[in-house]
Amino acid sequence: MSRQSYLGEFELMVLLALIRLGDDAYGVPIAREIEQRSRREAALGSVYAALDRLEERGLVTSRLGDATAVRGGRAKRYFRVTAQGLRGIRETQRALVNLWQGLPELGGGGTV
Amino acid sequence: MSRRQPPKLATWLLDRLGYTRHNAALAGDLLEEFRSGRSRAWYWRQAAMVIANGIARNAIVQQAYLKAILVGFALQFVVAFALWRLNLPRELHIGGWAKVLVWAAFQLAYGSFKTGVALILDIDLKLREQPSVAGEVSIL
Repeated sequence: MSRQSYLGEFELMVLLALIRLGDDAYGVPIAREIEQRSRREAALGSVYAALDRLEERGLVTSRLGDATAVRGGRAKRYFRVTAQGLRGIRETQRALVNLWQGLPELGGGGTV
Repeated sequence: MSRRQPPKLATWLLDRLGYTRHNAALAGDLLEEFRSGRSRAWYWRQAAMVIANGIARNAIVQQAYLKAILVGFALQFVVAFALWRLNLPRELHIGGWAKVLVWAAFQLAYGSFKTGVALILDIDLKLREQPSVAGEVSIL
């Protein structure tokens, strides 16, 4: 597996939030989802920086939604995970689970 | 009905320095959150993070440009040093190294200034390609 297919912690959180949100995944709900689930602040700038990187790597795609007055006439941009993104998540999960196994002090159970 | 307006200076800075691929959508998200009850301090903090991300990102994008400037500076230094060794009168050779160092420091400072200006201009050019944050705020 190439080094590029591993995901950083925050990138992984963003991708999982996208999957949870489905068709309603734009900046605000993505940040809220991460905040609620991880109980730490997720700055919108950091979320967009991660989305930029993920989009460059082909792990997410985006489309423009409708502009609304409350947003100053700016359109929402909706994001979704690509098939390549899903593969990246699974590979990262597999790598983390493998590292966890055999570490009972971290709740990783017995030996592999 | 009048809507809450975010801090103008933060929006102005965001417009000029907060470069991301989806800057307009990000600015819309910030405004949406601000109008749903977030504080002015929150808006400032978020804008500062976006600006910091934008500057860091542009610095990475501009690495080739920075390298070109450093190579140019090094060549300039080598040529000027060679000319100085060949042509200057003998009496000026006393303390010559100090003069070279002062000259090199000046060139480095000048090069950094040029790089800074170039980076700011480049950020400005990129922003012109997408909808202005301040412009969109003024729609309301």
